[in-house]
Amino acid sequence: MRLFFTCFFLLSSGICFSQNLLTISGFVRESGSQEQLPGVNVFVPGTAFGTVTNTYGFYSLTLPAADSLRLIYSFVGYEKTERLLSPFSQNTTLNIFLASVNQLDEVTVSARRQEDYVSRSAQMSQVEIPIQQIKKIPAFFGEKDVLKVLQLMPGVQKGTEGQTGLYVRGGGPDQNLIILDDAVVYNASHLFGFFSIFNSDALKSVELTKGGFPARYGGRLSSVLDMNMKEGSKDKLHGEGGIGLISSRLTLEGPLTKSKKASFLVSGRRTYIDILAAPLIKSQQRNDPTQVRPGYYFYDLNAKVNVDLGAKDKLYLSGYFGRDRFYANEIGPEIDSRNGLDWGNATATLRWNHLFGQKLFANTSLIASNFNFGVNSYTKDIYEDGSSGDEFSLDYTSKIRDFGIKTDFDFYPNTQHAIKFGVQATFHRFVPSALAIQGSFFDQSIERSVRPVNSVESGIYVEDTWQPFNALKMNVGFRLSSFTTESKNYIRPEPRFSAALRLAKDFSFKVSYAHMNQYVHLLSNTGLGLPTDLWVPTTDRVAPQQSKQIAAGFAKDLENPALTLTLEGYYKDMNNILNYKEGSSFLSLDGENANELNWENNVTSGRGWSYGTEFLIQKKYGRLSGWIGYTLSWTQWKFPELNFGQTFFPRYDRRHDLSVVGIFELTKRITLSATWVYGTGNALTIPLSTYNVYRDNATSPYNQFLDWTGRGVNEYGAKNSFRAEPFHRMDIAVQFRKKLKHHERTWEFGVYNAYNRRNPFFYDIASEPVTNAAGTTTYRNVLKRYSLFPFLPSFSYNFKF
Amino acid sequence: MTRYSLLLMLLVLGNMACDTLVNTIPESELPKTTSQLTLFSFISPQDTLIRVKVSQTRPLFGEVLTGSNLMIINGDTIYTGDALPKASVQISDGKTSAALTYVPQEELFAISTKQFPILAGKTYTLTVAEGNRRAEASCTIPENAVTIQKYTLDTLVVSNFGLRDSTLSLSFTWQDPGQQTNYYRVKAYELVEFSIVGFDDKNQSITESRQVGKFYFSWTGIANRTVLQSDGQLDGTVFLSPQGRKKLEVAQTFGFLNGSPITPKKPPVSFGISLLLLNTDAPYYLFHKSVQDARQDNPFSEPSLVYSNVTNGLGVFAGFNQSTLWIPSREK
Repeated sequence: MRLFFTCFFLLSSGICFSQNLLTISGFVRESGSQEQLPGVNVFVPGTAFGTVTNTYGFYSLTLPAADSLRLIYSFVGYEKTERLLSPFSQNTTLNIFLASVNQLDEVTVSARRQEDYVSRSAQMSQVEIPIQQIKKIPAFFGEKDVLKVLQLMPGVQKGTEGQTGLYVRGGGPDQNLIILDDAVVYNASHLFGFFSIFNSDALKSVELTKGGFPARYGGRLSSVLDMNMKEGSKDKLHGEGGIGLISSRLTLEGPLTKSKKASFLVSGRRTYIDILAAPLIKSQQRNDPTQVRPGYYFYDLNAKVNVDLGAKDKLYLSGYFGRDRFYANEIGPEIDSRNGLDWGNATATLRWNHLFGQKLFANTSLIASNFNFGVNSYTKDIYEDGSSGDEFSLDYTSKIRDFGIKTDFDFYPNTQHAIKFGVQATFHRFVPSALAIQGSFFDQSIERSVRPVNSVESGIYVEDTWQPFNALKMNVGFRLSSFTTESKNYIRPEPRFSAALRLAKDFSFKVSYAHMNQYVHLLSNTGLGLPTDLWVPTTDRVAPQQSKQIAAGFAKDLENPALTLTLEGYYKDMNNILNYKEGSSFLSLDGENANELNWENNVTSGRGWSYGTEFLIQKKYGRLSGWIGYTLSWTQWKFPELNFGQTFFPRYDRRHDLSVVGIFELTKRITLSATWVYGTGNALTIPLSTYNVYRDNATSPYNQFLDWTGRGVNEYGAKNSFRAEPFHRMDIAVQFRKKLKHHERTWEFGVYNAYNRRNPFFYDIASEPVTNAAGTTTYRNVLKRYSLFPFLPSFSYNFKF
Repeated sequence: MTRYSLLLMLLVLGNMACDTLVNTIPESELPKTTSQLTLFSFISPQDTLIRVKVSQTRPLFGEVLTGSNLMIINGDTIYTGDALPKASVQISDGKTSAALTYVPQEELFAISTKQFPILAGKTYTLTVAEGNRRAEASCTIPENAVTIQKYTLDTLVVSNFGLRDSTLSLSFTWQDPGQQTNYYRVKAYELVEFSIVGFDDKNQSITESRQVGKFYFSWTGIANRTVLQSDGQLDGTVFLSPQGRKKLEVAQTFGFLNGSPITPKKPPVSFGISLLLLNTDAPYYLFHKSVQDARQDNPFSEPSLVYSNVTNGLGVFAGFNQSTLWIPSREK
């Protein structure tokens, strides 16, 4: 903390000595909607003076006074804007409105220089995808998904087919810090991981950082996915929506008051497979006395309100609420059974922006986040005379609830420094599992609940984007994170560093180092995004996960064609990563350790490391846009209690991963798009042979094997020594747009898995009869590959007004 | 059940009904495996016999091998008749070695400890050769046996799915020696004389003979307190066994003759209870723990691997040093 203030005052005093410096600051907004734009480049052409707008669209530049000052505001997807201040002789507030480049006209704009060169930023290992581009990339069942688009980037891999989980540089899907308007989202998936909970209509920006993490982020090992919701248009009521095969969605946004000081946004989505399937299921069972009613749905709702409280203050209130429910009820003359699974997230954020003069911007957020998951099952047998027989009920719940507060400051002392500092604290309450079983055939009901665990996670940070001279830009940061459990306090320093050295015009060398700690863990033994995956905190016995990552690479911007090339290599070491012990499951009701509800006994910790190289060639705009990403990587784990302490490849170790994404504007009305992905198969453990094991385990005096009991087991070779077949797939889509009198509509037709590749989802062993020439039948075991999605066509209708 | 419903749901969503989504992997693409030798042996200075079970693995893919029978006990598939009688089995303490002979009735190899004594603190090597395969494993007998300090023994009436049973309940403690790594295994049995009832069909008569047998306790352990314990983080402390339970032996019904149950005339007689504490080596502990944890049929849990300390083969060769506490029966 002292260091923090020393830096602050040193930098502040530095300004006092230079009398002729003046500050120009303001907000950059989208014209029309007045949506604040983050990440806009603001610079003085021909010099090294420049900055980038923060999350709330604010910028501040302190420059020497001059007779005239030319400023350029540039952002992908928007018209570049230029301002001339003549003379620049006093501190100035300059708010800018950028006009959105209609994607139809962008073809003609493309030749113009866009100044968002990656080679000029100190940040590396960062991926930013414009929302407009996400909407054009082919999607599974036409459901546009932010997370699945991110999976197409180098260094980011998918787990199993169709899953939204992100595996970033050898890390698991729990090692991603997913934040939506400052609130941490714990389970980011719907439908057992096949869809993410983020509705792209409600999102303004999506940014994924894989390495070189700035000090303002902390709490996860592998990535930061920072998403911001749109604020709501201030000019007039706008709407956007779509009707697809799986779900429909609608977003409305507009001003709240006549003075246009406040605006709102509401966005909702719901699936209707259950409603469509209900009559079908009913007609199938027309004559059955016992009616089975299975169903599934999910919905989500985003809402945001923002209020302008004058030039210096602004208030935002945003929330997300989503729920999944899967049920199977069976009602008949002999049985009454109701079973369900449901889970969901809810987040709420209240943010207050305040400007302390032209150089200091502050945001304070109050955050609440909640995730809960429940399994409930009730069965009652009914006798012929109508009386009730045995009853059984099971309720299992798991919850996390967070309350947080954070304050972040952006301080722009002079052109060489841009400083961010802040504090944050989150109060977690975990109920990892609570189980209640009641039944008439048990003497007593079983009620086991793991005591709720309360803990406090906090962090304090400072980071400085420093440009000591023209060719060198650095981000030097430090974060002190802490986690307080009921009887232990972990305090961990986290140094961060990244730098870009310009070697030639638009060509730079970058290097970064980041030390991260993770205090909450996800226990998963499926690899799927199932809600049964359990979030648990660091405890006295379970230490925080830690990682150290070093990355280095080159970034090159080309002007014509306007391409961005990055080549990066990384090495990441992860310590105290957690995994279930072999054979453990979240709900051990059927095993020998049924009494073990304490999850700490079912987990084991170890070390992992990952290294690799990533190549990306990207074209963000133009008639043909898209990218090619390739990753060559190795990930290994070593756990004292897994694989008998031997090193092994975790399931998602992927040697090669290639993605090709292309979007082509055929005409002003027609867009064609395609993606092709290739990935090395997952590392799996499959049985190779069987044998009897004999234990020193006497059970009865009648035992024939003396005191030993035999048991048939499988032999697997080394853990995960079987490689699944490689995964590859092509998706294509075509969009037809038309401007009608009151709205614009888009028809989209898409195909998932265009050449019908049978990608492995899982493998299983089956016994098949074989008849030989003599006519005798013997059985032999074969390995079966189960694939999930064949060639799947889809269409959707989207509108916008 | 719920887990399977989930899977079912996924399958339905993926149009799994469509058969072509399930494909057989050609045998040429499967990992190549050959049959390996397996051996199992647990030795201790307190035993009178060294026994070694020798067998082999069966590659899972391809045709099922003939010449053995399949037996399913408690859901486990067990191959019987899989012993390799022609194998050569040697035990050595580094200086002397002895060959074990095949005992056909028990389908295993054995030698008396009078011929080849097992001593505390010594390391033994077991070598099995069959054809041109040769497997080998070594183990070291722990230096000392650890004595049982205190025990509690009660008779309880417990409910077992509506039935009431008289049950013996047992637990005991021992002091872990400090400054050394120890692994433990607890066992207990009641020594009972009971009747074997034979039925002569021709004469329609019943014969009754007496036999003495060991009736073992079963254990309900939670968390780390199971039948297998390690002093990993509890070095030098007092250890407590899990709770052992065993039904009181009652005269068993062997069948029915002319509609009336055949029950032995003489009831079972208990001589006493024997408490056993095995101070084991690491392979004993790791192997039994891995077999205990091996639940290989749950699609949602990672398959667990079974421990082996055999080179060029699978199985385990482990040693222990055992102490016994005998509680004589009060009725006797």
